[in-house]
Amino acid sequence: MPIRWSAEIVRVSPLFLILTEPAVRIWGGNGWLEIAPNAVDVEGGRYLGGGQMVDLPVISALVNGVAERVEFGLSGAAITSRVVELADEEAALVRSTECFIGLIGFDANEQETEISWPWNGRADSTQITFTSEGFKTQRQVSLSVGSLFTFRQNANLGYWVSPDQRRRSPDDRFCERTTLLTSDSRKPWPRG
Amino acid sequence: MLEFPSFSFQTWRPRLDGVALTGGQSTSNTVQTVKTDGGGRWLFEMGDSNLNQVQSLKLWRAYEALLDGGATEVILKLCDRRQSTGWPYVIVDNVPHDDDTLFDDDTGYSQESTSPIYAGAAALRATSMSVNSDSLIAPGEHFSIEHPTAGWRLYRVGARDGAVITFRPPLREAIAAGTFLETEQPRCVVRQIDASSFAPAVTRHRYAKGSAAFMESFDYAN
Repeated sequence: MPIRWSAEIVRVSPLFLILTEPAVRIWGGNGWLEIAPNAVDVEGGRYLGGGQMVDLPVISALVNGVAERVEFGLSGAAITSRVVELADEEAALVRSTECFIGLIGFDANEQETEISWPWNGRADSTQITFTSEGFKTQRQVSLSVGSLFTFRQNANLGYWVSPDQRRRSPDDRFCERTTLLTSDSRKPWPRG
Repeated sequence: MLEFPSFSFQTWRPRLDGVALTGGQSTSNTVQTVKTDGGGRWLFEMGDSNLNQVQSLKLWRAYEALLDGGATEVILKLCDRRQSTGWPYVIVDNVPHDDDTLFDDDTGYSQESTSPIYAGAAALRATSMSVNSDSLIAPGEHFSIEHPTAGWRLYRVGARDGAVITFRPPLREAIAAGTFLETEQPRCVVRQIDASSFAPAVTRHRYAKGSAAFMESFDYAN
């Protein structure tokens, strides 16, 4: 259910949920946030403040049949011992668990109004990286999440060649002769 | 937990730091801002503490070592007495010893004090609560609550309507009825940021000025 973007709601925070056992719950603010059970997070619970969620990736809808894969980066206070466990020792468990990105709206008194869960995907691989810049070292855990279509191994039906066309409709001979056309070939027109 | 001494800084700048995004400017020059932090966190910037005394420079350097570049949480007191609740405080005078005798010159102990402020129960992330209605707490003042898990947290009163105060940031942890609000010396659990500029440049091995910056710390939430 989408958030009704009325003028009232000018405060939103991202939610991030990985349905491992127990689930990892992180939100974009500071400190704790209690969320009541809802359609996606059926148990509800306490979200940990990931104030420094490094970047929330741009999430796009499925266009042209190419499934996307996004990377979530966590650093700073959001890296709890549980997150490190998941990223390191239990990486195999994380694979193909469901991940959700939600948005929670707050009213003018910072009280929760609505939650929507616009995107979900399945976790793939995790990675812990250390980067240092000057004397500052940053630890970052990143999680690669594919959308629900990422693991479907279908080839693109992208070429005007006979096999692709036959997969679309088995008795179609429209593209039968396209292999004869190379970039060099010239088809005389009109025929003399 | 370690407490950071006051160091009599000449400038103090406590502020609530938040994250706001805008969607850019529209053709009719309107900019809408969206807050994404759910309340923000405290940042403290203090400048120009005079460290010309040997002891104060040594103390500063000792704390530089103890703060571990921001890895250690410390309690920072908001040295803001003049703007605190009920200032100037009531002076309780001529308090005798426990056998009801006074000192030789017929005077007793004296002490400044404020009347304590207690809050009603409030939930996690509440932004308003009731206080005892005879309390003096007013908008623009700070108070602290020592939460069982989150420790000392700082809040600022935004508005008061009778016995109900509205404050920011949202409560870090739920409070029970009768929770004491510390207004004389509000304080907050913080960690050092910008550690490299903490070390003062000492001129002619003698004169130095120290500046520090702290950020509210959320280690409890891990």
